[in-house]
Amino acid sequence: MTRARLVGVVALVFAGGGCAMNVSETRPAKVLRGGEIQVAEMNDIVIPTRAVGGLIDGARDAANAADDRMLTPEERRTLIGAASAISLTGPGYGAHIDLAAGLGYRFDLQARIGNGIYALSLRRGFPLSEKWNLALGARGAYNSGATFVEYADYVTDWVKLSDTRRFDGQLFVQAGPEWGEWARLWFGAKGMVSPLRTDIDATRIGGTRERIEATIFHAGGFVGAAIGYRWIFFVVELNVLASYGKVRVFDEDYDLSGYVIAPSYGFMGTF
Amino acid sequence: MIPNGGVSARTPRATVVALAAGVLLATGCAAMKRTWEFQAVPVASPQVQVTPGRIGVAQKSAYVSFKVRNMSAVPVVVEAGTFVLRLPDGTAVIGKTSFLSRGYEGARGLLTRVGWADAKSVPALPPGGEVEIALNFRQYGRDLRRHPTLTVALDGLLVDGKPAALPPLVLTAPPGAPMGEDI
Repeated sequence: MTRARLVGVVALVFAGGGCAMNVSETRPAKVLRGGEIQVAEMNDIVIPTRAVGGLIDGARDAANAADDRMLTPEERRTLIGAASAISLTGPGYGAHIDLAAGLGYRFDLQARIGNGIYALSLRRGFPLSEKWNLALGARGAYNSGATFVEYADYVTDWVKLSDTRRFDGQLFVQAGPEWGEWARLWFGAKGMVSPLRTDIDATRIGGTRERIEATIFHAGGFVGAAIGYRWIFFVVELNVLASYGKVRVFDEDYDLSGYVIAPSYGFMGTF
Repeated sequence: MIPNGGVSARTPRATVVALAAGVLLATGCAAMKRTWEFQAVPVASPQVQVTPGRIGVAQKSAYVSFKVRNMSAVPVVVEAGTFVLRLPDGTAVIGKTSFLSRGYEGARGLLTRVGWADAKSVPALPPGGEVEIALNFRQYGRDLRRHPTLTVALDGLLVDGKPAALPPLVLTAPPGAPMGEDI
């Protein structure tokens, strides 16, 4: 029964529960020229290796045991740690819409909305040749933790995390060639700092409630491609980032470090 | 006494902010304008006069229309061949007439070659008569708006089957248009 419940939670998290982190770029390195408009619908899959491991290895046994008896302090720690990892760096699937406009002077501005993510980014382009372009950019994002898919904030039945609020500050550099009006390739690196806050309730397993605050750092790279013609392109991108961070919950430190693998795909229109 | 560049205590701060925002917006808006209307002066030969119509230059394309008037005393046959637009650095962009016209002409030519249709004769333009030609020049990789002048060679204009002896149309950017491809 408990196992079935846990499997259900995991399935829910993978199906749409976890908020997809705001890590994808999903656009070519060439910034939009003045007056140019870009609209994109992108789908992001986020696979954080640490959270998945923590969930499968730790939480399963503890959740099973919690059905039958009081948990030991170690089991409680395991369950809380897994729940925190799922909530703060958890796997997820999400969709977002990007709206971007060329401001002129080789700047473009992009607004992003989707799955509780609200982000704004500014890029400055540097043409390296008629084929190659370089861009430097910054993005600020607010992640409410909400999703379009209705689901409970219970990551497990035993530890509830709610009111997650995360800010993401990103710096990125990207470069890449373009082939006429039909293909684009880009790659780059990015760093992201994410101060976050969430409420954790472990009263069902003999713990208490606590508001936790932490900062997670991500650093890594991405590679993407777009193929289409003139206005419409199909886009794929892969982000691989290392995450660093610790969260202190109920006087215990939990390591949130690991790797995040985030493939994205979708359609982009440039007009 | 207010020093140069200072703001009076009576000057509402909101006015200063609005003024600054307005200047920034105006600068940005100019750079963000998608299509600039370029200008050109008419050119003429003893046979025909070319009077520019609408010339809209966007980032990747330029639309150029002009009227060709028969200035001679006899009817002439005016045809549109291949036109070339040149950027100041010499980059050439081939112009095309409308997709529908090209499709119709292509289909008609095919039918004529297989013998299913008679060859179409181009009607002659009577003295004083006018015909309008519209071209679209499209390229990728350059911003056509950011050049002070573009030229359209008119040797693609055929008069009685021969290239018209006309100087090129010089398309001039409007005053205030931001220039330079780094914009």
